[in-house]
Amino acid sequence: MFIARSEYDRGINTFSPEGRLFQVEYSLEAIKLGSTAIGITTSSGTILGVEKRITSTLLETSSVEKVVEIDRHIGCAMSGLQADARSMVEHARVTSQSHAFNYAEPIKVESCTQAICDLALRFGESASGEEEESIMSRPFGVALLIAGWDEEGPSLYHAEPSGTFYRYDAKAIGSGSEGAQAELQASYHKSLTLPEAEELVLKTLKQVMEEKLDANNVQLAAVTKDKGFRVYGEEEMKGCVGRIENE
Amino acid sequence: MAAHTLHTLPSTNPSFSFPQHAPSGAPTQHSFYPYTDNGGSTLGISGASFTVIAGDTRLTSGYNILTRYAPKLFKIGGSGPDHKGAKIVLSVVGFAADGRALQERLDTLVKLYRYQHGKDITVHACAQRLSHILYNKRFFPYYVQAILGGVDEVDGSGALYSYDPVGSYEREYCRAAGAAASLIMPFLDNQVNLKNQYEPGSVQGLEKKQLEAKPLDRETVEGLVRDAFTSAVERHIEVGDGLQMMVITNEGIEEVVLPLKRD
Amino acid sequence: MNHLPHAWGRPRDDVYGHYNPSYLPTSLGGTQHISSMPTSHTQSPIVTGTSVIAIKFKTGIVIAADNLASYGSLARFTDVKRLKPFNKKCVVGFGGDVSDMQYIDRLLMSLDVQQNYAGSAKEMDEEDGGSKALMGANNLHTYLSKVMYKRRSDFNPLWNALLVAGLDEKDAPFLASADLLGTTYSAPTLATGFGAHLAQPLLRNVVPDEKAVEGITREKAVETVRECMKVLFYRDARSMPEYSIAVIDGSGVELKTDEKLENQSWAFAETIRGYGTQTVPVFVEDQDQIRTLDEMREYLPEDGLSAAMDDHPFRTATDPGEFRDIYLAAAQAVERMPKPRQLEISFDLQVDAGMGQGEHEFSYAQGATESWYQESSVDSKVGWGMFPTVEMDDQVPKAWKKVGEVKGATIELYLSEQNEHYINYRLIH
Repeated sequence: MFIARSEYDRGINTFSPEGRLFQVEYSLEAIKLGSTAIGITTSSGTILGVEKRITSTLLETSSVEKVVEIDRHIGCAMSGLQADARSMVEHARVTSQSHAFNYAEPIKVESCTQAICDLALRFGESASGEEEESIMSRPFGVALLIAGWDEEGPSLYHAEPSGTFYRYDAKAIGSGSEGAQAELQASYHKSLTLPEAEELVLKTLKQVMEEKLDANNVQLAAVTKDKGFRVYGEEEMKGCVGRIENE
Repeated sequence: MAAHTLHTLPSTNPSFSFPQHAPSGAPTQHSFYPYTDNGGSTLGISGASFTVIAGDTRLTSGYNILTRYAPKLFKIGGSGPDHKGAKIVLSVVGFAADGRALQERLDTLVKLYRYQHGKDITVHACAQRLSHILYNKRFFPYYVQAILGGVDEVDGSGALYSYDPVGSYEREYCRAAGAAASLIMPFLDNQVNLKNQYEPGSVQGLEKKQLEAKPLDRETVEGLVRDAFTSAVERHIEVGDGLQMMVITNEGIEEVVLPLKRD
Repeated sequence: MNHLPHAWGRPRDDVYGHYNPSYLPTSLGGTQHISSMPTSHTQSPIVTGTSVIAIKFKTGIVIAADNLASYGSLARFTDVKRLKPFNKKCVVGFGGDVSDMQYIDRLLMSLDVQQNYAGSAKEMDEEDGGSKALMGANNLHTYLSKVMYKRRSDFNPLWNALLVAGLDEKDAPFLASADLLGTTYSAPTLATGFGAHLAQPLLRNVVPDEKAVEGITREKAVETVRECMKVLFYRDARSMPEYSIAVIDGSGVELKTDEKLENQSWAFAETIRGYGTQTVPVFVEDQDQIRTLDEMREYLPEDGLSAAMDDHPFRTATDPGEFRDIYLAAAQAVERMPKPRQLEISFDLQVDAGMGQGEHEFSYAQGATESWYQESSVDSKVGWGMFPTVEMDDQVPKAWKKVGEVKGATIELYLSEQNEHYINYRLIH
């Protein structure tokens, strides 16, 4: 697909004459290979949904963890290299706890997202022992959908390996993101209820997934004011999937 | 030789709040002591919708008055050199240089907080942060007693936090600190928390009913503050010259400076 | 005797044994390796400068310090300039360790160079008071106080007390202090060291608060500071009469480094006889022999004490010595009294707080203690601070060893507060 793009491909923090950072752009490509993840905000909370790719019938599906908790009031869904997401989530968790420790209050969702994006840019080629030693030799190959509830209500952020982030009402990432985003665009409205959002997430995933959607190969999670971040259990998943199948 | 000096009568060895060179036969090892006590006193009282923090403006070193106007109250946060829009006040008493350093650090962190989180810090969060600043330096402490005041963002009540030099803190209704704390605090216990005040005509003995403390109104509190300081000035040489008082309400901070006796 | 000058004044090995150099580094014959020796920080100042004093006036500041650098009690260097000008609108006055002063002066030089590279100096040359572009004295003070606080926090203090005087960014007079602990403060008058005790009260008399600054002219400020330098020289043993004085106002810094104290008067020194609480001995041998004033009057000489008892009982002794003369006269009178005799001269010492004589009975000025007024104060404690002291105890003329009492006779002495050593006295019945 990409022919060797010249020497600007080698230094990961070297701009090409056209003003591009190729390695960062490639990292965005890595996400397009990842499983689809969707987030939708409603007035009463944010829903996250991810596709689990069940590559083998022998795979224990509960071990595929693509929606994780960052703090009681923040959670995130990922798409791309999952291992990379581990260190980003770890960083976000530490930042959240440190904020709670220092200020005796939950961190804002935006501040948490900002902390993740600050980490995303700390890649490079500095030698060990250098003053600003970067911890990654390459950009992260993962994008995150960060959902949370703070004093401003529910929110959803999309964080990229490039270190940029935007806030969305509804957002899809991963391999099926193009189709899914179009579906969200068409179906999203401000007065969605939480169950409606659950259904919209599942329906959209169903459209873009290669496998047939069932209660095992998708995972939902929600952030609400009262319960905070919560990953849906088996029974709850069956209930939700059952609702869209009955329609 | 040393044993001799140990057995002098207590009356010939009055204690001071600043270091004294004890007369001793042994040669004194002169070494650097990085602290001093600059005297002065502060106090804070919280009400239903406001907090008052006050401090005298005298700065002392031993028996010397270094200056008659050195503020112990600082606005925290806000914008520009006069902290426009600030709603938190820090008072520090003890070693003035440490007090200044602490104030600058807290102010910087509170301003950074605004940049990082896009909102003003709450008194609650600021109080926790201040505790950490003090605790992080516990092996070489800021030698100050701090009082932090503001308005609780959740219920609109006056918020007052008091600290020890290594960061222990507590939210209280009133607190006196500094040189004349032992003079002022019992007065506040009686007048604000109504300690040792009982319902008139109530049964004597263990069944006596203590009067219940209620939040005071602003005039009463300001009156108490003035009385506390005019009294402290009479009995403590390190307190006097001026009374700086800040009233924090939801609208912001009002500051007054009143004269105290300069003797 | 050892004829080699090298050995003179050194401890002799045959007396003290061989010198043990083990604590010294190997380079000096010891056993310590430099790298393994602990870092040592300043534990006390070595060569020191004494007070610095400064006062604000309407449009500027006057600051002064003497030119002495002492090594303990030795007046080691007598031409050390302790006022350092900075960038045409500030002066820093240094008390305390002189080597630390020189270090800070170097910091100031490099700061000045940086400031000049930043372009301020160029604008200074421009006509319209380009001084506004210069770093203000307040900025300089902040910088220095951070240096001082950092060093104290490193347990390696710069052993100084600094006064920063000058104009701030808005060209308003600015005066503030920073010391070895990093403590900072500002006031219309400031004094470090001994000056805090001796000069500060005099300065505050002139400028009690910030409001009073408006009423002070440049001339008045300079005069006040010069007067204070004189008082400091009278009482501070680590001072000298040559000093530097600087005036900073809108027209720039005027720094004079070779001023001399003028119009010194050491008359007060004549009256100093030791310090501390002193008592008059009492020898009442026989109560029956107590005489009345009238009985005693015939024993008094024509001059001296008797002169005090005419129609105008108030007398002003301009010379502290005259006070003593009265006592001597009284003593002589006692000598002429037939023996055995009992005499007690009881006297009231009052401080005349300037309200005029006789208008008030007992007006104790600040610092005067109750013991100044005691009805039968033969053992009256006399000898407070700056006041001329009555000769007491073993320094009392011999005649005073035998004093008795003249019933009802009282000498009242009025000491003027104004430090001019006026003594008003009268003998009353």
